[in-house]
Amino acid sequence: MKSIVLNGRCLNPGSAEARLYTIPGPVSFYGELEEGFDGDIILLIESSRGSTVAPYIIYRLARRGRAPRAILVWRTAEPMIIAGCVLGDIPLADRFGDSSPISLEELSRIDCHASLECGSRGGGAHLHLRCR
Amino acid sequence: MHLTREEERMLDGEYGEAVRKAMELIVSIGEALGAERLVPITSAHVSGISVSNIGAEGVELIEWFARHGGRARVRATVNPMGFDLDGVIPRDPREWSLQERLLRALSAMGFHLTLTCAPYEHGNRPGLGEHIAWAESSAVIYANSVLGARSNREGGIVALAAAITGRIYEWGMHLDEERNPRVRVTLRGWRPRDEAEAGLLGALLGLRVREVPLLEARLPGLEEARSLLAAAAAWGSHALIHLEGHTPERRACVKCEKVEVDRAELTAFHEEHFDDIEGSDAVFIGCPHVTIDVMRLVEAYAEKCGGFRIPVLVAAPGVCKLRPSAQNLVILRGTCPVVARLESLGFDKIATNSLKAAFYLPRRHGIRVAVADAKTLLRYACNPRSRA
Repeated sequence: MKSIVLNGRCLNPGSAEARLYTIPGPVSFYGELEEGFDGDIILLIESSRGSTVAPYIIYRLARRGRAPRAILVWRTAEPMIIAGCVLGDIPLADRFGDSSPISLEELSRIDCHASLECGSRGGGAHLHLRCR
Repeated sequence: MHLTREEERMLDGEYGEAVRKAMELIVSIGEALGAERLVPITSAHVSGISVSNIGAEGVELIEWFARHGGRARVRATVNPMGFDLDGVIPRDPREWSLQERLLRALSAMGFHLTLTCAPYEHGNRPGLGEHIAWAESSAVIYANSVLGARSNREGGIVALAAAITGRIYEWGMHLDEERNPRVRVTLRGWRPRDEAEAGLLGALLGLRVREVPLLEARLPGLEEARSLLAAAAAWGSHALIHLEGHTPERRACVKCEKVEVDRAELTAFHEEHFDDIEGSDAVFIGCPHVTIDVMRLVEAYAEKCGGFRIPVLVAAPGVCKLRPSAQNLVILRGTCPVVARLESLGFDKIATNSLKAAFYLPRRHGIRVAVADAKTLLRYACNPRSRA
């Protein structure tokens, strides 16, 4: 068991704990993630491609219980994903890549359990990972 | 981010749940973008009000805002929806009932149901230097470039939140320095003759230029400016183009990169992307929505031609009062073929004067497109025996 701590920026406060699900590339909620997820996960994506429909899709996933427990963005979150998380009450944090000791590619290849602390809007976000 | 005391109170829920949620949304995005503060807005324009786009949950979300005390604090209008007001486009009963609920919620919150992508023609016309939050790319670029108002290209729900709070983050187009031109565009010995050529030029600018352009060429009129701007916003991500004779802000092009466009490029782009007008099974005018002048032009041709031999679709604001009637003349009020379910009408190739429509029709509906100016299109659709 390897323990890793990543620091980012908190955009929509909240805390969450679940298995980490990593997508090491840009993601579009419109078209690619419309169906959402089975079970509890914390979603880590490199970035999102903005679509003005994305906020509604994220909100819909939250309403149907198919949204991630939290969404983490490796780079900088774009406005539509932020809107979606605020509306769907999903904790959101970004910029984990800026100071990460491990690459996103590597993270996507290992199994991690994640716990997120994201306390205040614009403040720091801390992601504790326990990985195999 | 610095918030005023009133903004803090909005965020704390003192103005009700809807204002709190809307404020959270605006502040979170502003924070992420690095905005230092919010600015009061004078106008909002909301897009994304088609049920086919936002689904039942989208409707419920907007109803939630209405139920929790959301009210537009500024002049606010709405974009076209997925159905026309007169039932020309077939209405799936379930979707139509959701659409009606959505309109009721918007209306209850004080949004004017203009159902148009050209709100500036229908009572929502901000002036020079006004901060606004609009969410319709063709209207945003018109507001910035022709009216001198200040808006980013906001998402529909963000514009709604801005209407409810009366605030938007001070970022991008709201800041003086972001509005300076960075690229000087010159035309080598030519200029667009009509709105279709202006649109082609706009599409090229959309594809070739990333930063704020200054176009050093006088367009024939406002219709051509509108067409160029809408095209640039659809084919690229522009929010502002400085246009000689149209843009009220005078800003110098300091250390501008230079781009030259010659007519041969325009012709090559036209031939590469679009079909010949021959064989089109419909004509489409009104993207952005027709102005009263263009509606009168259509009416004049309809009269002269004694109706049309193929469908002439004209997209018009929901609040449009002038509705000429003639054989094959189809007025689509309050919608737009770009967002409507067009498949049901069964067209294979549409001729249009809009480069914005020419961008979306093939991508959304798999329809082939021909491009020409409105007069050429109307002559093409004219009954062969008339002398128009």
